[in-house]
Amino acid sequence: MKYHETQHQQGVTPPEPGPLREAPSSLLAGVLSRLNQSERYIAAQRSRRALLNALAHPQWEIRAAAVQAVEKLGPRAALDPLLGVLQDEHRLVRQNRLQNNRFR
Amino acid sequence: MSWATVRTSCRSSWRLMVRFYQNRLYTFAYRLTGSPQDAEDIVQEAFIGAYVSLRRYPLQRIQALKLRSWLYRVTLNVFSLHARRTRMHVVPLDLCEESQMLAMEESEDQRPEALFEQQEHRKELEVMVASLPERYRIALTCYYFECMNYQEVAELLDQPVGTVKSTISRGVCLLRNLLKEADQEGGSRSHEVP
Repeated sequence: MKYHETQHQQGVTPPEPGPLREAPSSLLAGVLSRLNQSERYIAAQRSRRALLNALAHPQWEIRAAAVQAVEKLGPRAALDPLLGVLQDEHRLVRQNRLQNNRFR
Repeated sequence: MSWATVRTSCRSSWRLMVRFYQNRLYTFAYRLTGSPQDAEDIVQEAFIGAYVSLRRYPLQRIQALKLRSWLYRVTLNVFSLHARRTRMHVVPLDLCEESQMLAMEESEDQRPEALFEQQEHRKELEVMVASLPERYRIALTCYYFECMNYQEVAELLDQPVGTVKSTISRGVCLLRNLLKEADQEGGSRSHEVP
């Protein structure tokens, strides 16, 4: 099927992409702020216990980062909390756990 | 900009990537939701999700990614989750096969396909498309506003091309009837096609 074949058949010119709306400046700022916050939060956790607590953080991107950080502790990292991550409400947090486990 | 660059270099590359795509994805999300705040939330979530995903993808997978299509898919996934949570699209349309809503009209002055080409009607159409049930809203937005072809829409939605064509056709029927109702209520023929 060629691009917009039906319109050509009807003698109608294919539409150009519509005009773009300008994203608010808060969008980029929000993205960068959340990513920075996530990395700083994980970097600030000095103990294994603190990292495990981060697995239950309300922000999913921090939980996802915490999974990676806990995994880096090595095979002796607490298994139970990481198993709990498999039931996390956010798909990417669960996938982080599965992915890390696969490559271990 | 390549994915390998985005992934392997510093945050500034990611910032450039967000700048490059934010208007496109924001417009896409706005057309799906009809809400600037929801659109911003969805796109922000999509960019965070893309970043987190990218960090765990093997390099080969990253290099195989089609950047634009992948970001659309990520955004669409976030939108779908958002829609389920907020129980959007509660417009009570009768969509059974016998429904008058899906009856074909031949009248030229209510052909949404033609109206999509007229810039002055696009915003009005955006509002109407945003009121359609999710499956039609997404397919029509991708096809007419984002100007993807059938194959691209099929890949994005992970559906057969035939299903996409059918969905778009039915969506246009729904729009046609909404336009007809709007004309009748307005009493004037504001959607006249030259």
